[in-house]
Amino acid sequence: MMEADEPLEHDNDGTNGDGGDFNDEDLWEAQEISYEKLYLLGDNDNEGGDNANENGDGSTTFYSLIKKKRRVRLATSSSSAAAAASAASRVGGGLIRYLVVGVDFSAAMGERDADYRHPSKVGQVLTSLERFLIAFGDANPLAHFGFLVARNGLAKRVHELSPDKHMQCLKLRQSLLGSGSIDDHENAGCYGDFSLQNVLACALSSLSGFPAWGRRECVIVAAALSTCDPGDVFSVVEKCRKERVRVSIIGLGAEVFAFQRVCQRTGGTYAVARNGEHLQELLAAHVPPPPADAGSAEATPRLLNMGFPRLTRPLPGSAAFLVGKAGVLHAGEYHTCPRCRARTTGGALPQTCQVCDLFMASAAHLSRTYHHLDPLTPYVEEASEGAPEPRVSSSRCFGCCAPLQAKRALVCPKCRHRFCFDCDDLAREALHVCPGCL
Amino acid sequence: MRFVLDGLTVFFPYDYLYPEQYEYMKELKRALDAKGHAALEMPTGTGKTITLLSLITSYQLAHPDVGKLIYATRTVPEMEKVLAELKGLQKYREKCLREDSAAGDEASAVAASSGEYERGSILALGLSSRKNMCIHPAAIEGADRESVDSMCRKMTASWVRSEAVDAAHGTAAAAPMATDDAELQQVRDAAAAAAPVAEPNERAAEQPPPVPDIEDFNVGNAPPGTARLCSFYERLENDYARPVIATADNGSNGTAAAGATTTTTANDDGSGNPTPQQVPKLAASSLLPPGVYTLEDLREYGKKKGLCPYFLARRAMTYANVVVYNYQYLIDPKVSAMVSRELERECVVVFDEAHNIDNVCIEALSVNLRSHTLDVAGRNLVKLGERVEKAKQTDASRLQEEYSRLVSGLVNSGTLGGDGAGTGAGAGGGDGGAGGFLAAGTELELLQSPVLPADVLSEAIPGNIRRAEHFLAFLRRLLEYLKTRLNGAKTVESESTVTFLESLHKASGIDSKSLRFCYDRLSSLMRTLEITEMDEFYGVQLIADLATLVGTYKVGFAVIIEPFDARLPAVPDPILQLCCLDASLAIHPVLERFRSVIITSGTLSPLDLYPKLLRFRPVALRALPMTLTRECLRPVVVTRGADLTTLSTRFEDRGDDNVATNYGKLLVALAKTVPDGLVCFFVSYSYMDRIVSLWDREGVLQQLSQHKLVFVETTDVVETTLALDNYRRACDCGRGAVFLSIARGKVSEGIDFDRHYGRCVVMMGVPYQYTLSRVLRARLEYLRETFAIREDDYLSFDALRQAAQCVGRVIRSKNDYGLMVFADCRYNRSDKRNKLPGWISSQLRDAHLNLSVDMCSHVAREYMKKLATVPLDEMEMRKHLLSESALAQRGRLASSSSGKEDDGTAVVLP
Repeated sequence: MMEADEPLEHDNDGTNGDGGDFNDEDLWEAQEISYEKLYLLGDNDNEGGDNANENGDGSTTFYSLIKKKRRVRLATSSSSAAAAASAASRVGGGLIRYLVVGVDFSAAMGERDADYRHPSKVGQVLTSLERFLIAFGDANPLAHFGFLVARNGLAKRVHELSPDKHMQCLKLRQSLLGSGSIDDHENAGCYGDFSLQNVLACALSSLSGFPAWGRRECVIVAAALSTCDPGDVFSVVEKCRKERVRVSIIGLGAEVFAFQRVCQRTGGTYAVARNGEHLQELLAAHVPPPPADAGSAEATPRLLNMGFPRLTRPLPGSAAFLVGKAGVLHAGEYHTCPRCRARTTGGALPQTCQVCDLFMASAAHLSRTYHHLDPLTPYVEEASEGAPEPRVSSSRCFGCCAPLQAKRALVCPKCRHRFCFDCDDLAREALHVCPGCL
Repeated sequence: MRFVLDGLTVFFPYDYLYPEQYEYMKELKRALDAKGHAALEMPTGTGKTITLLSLITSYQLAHPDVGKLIYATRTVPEMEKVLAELKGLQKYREKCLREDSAAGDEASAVAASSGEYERGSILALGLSSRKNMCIHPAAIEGADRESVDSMCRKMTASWVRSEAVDAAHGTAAAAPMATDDAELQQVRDAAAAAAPVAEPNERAAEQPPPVPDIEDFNVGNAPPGTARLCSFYERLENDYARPVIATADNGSNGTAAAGATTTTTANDDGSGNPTPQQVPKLAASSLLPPGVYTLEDLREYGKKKGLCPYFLARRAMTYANVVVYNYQYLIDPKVSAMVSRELERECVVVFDEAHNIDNVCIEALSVNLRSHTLDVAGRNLVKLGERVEKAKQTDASRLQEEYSRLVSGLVNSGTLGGDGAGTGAGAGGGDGGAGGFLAAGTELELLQSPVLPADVLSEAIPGNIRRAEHFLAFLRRLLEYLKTRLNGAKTVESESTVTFLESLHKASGIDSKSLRFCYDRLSSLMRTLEITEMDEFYGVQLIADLATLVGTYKVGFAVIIEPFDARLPAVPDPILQLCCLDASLAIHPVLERFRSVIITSGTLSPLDLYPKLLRFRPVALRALPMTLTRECLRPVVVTRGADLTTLSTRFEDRGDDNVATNYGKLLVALAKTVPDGLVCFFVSYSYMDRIVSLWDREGVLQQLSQHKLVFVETTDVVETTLALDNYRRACDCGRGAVFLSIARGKVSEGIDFDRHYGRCVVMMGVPYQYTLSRVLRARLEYLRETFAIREDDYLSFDALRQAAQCVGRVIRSKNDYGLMVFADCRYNRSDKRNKLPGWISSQLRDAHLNLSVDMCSHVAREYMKKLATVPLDEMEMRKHLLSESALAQRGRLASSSSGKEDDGTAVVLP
């Protein structure tokens, strides 16, 4: 049940600085598209023969593999039973997420690697993480997130979890550079060992304060190939499992068995990035909420009290008493809790009312996350087996009217219109609705 | 899946087959059809074992005239692995055949199909030493193999058992009170004196029930020292008839199983006086119902039924379809004559992991004597003399009887009974065959000698050693001669057996004919004296072995006396070695006797050398490649350090610290880029000691331990096991570890570093044998003269097969991947590279030859990243696999192309 006792009257719904992230988003999309072209390029190369891209030793090129992976992903979700199952499992598929991103700042991260653009890996990793966080924040406006950094065998929280992506990114940069003073050299740069146990313990303590109905996740970007732990890492992993924290790790060097096992135990994913671009790919996979296991507590829908607060901008020069951390008088904008009328500092939503513990969100956020609950049915390749018969056999894409290449058309299983790959991407990435079904 | 291969229905428990498995089966079938031998190489991780098992058992099913499958492995864990695979296969096969017979019922082909079903059940079992199989609570406490063997013998030897019987009847009143071994001995002597030895066969027939005592000495209420008889063995002995030698039909087993069970339980319930006379002896074939029995299963079964698993397995062997045991049981002539004697000619023998088979053969026929051994032999002789004296006083008739038996030449006809209690030459067996010798001495039905059956003359034992005291004097003379030779040697002496015999004859007047019978004579004597503690008499037994071998073989052997170890010239440590130079001597009877012998391993390259060394003509000789869906192994050759120092363990470069430092840099660079486990093999302990202490001084070890924990293999087995254990733990918990090990060590042969336990293996140097060793020199000379194999060729063949074994440790399946670093400039030469197995050398690209340390580290990083990001693609894998339909298609193609090769023996299933 949702309490909407206030009309929606504020335009800027708490996400201050829409303009800023629009640019980033744009960039992100552009990148996506260019990769998409590359895949298609690789596919064209592949046209000649099935094994044309195999360079003799049984290995396949990177792009054809990525493309194949996409196709496999598509294939697994497009079969009708799987589609139904995944749709069902996405119900309750975590609109409200709590994410901790662990960043490895150990010596291994500071090393040169030819596969990364910057002098050392850390530069590009940082950029990728910022892009990821912004994309994540956009796709999941109801989420809280934060960073923690691991260096010298320790793990440290950069800042509290909050829905403010820009502030978090800034803090992460600061944590790499340190304060700049000579005395503070311990908190800057990449050095020392990496300890997975400490990272997990730290993530656990950050996440355990949040309500249990949220989705708790921990994504770790680790360049190190070993973990130097004070004790048994798997004892912490057991705790994570009990607390239902899903740990996913993205490695930068090679496959590490312990990392893989940690991810397996907690239901997360483990992947190794080949280069900077691949890292972004892998991070992007964490943007949509992960499907809940069927039958688990998360999969069953539940009702939640939620309020939509009013944002008030007081007149210049006036002051108001706010319920904040310190409970001080504060001049500036504030949210009013729709239930208890307590005023909380303005800033990013969602928030929890400090007095009555009501989850406060904005309706616009809710509508932006709604598509996670009801994901778009994946299009089926026309050439594949069991593809539905198109309604009209036009030679143009229903979405953009571009002429369709032979064998390159996709069909929506619901409306049975034909689409091109670009429209498929648009529908899935931006529209979240099929133009044909409308 | 089930498919037809050249007219043979093959049962294969998995849904897909690798193409190389298919090829392998084809080669195997060719060899079996031609009743010939085969040497086949197929990389590890391609399912060699299941392919072998599946084809040969299917062949047995289709051709009932084929005998057992004898599967020889090197170690007990390997044995267990084979049996586990076989279990899966059997389950699948039974399911198939049951379905068929059900279908057959409907089609009114009941008889045929049910017969088939009957035949379809397999009895397979593993056989190992008593140490691994015993369930007697007292005997199993023995620390090593010998003590368990000897304990067992004390409870199961025929005279001990007859004594117990007598004791029960009060003929030797003091007997049951015996509390320790010495007393037991006395008691036994007394008992023996009281009761003249009957002919064992008769005794077995008219044996009175050994009843009430057995209950007393049963498991629960007998303290270990006084356990005189083994209840498990007694039950086996009393309840079951001895097996007849199995005939060709393997199908008749399992018929009386139900009856056996009921009777045995009845026997159990009768707690008072169950008399075996009332219980008719059960058919031998009812001992074990069909099934697949691992050692653990046998122990369980033995406990349940109260039967001794060891002897149970020995007996069931005669009618089992598949027997899995150690190499030694076939190759060591003394052991094999006892254990494998009853195997029929039509058996199929498989030697798995047979890349070292020539060395095993040679070890089986070599004897090493040190001055310590000679001292022991001297003491043994004194003891034997005392025993003979005592026996003379108490029981002269026994010696007399033995004498007369020897005179009449009965020694080879097996009148001496006993129960074939046998050997414990089990796993390991690397101690110059000594283990086999020791255990072999007891209670033989036939006297066994360390020479081969074909070489045993049918003559009687010569007169000068027939009398016990004469024989002992003879041995004393021989021992004296050996002592003078051993202690008199100032320089290394190497001579042929002929010269040795001549000088022996000159010095002590011993001729070769008497020598030849030493072993037989000694065994006969020891049995007559009723000695159970064979392990104490190993000195004199070794001497007898030596004598027999020297007396028998004129060629193929050399006697080498070294006054000190060449590596430690200051320490006098004289050793007399009788070394076998010809591997074919030991394996020859196996090859002659059995229908097909399959020699197979992951590393048998170069293939044509094995038939030469073992002197046989294979019908099938092939190295099969490995189909790869991704680059799951990458061999690289590193030849230079970062400062362009040539990396090598050549003799000239061994002292060079610069080379050692660069090896250290290589290892650090790899430790940095390789996740989890990293294994490093050195060429010898001494080189590792030197290099590691240098690394310690130069701080390489500290750098190494920043990235990974460091573990070292030592000569101590317990220490090494502990190190390995911790190494695995470090790999599991993500800390990462380096294991420094020795090529030719225990680790390089038996331990797998699969998956994350070994992502990379470094072979530092070429593991040549110690080329200054006299034994090796003699062997090389022999090889050159007899087989026309050049010394260099043999040496590098041997070194490269060791290297291939070492690096092959990291990849045990297709899902695995590993980097193989050959760090020596000599690997860059094509004559070395060509000797690597095909599945490694085919992956060795030109771009990965002649690398420097930094280039290697780059290659490693790139490889690790690539393999981590290219996930194992099931779909891709499927492409290479053959499904049932694909196989059917292949079969059709083959049959249409090769016309009417079908010989009509194929079983056509409905």
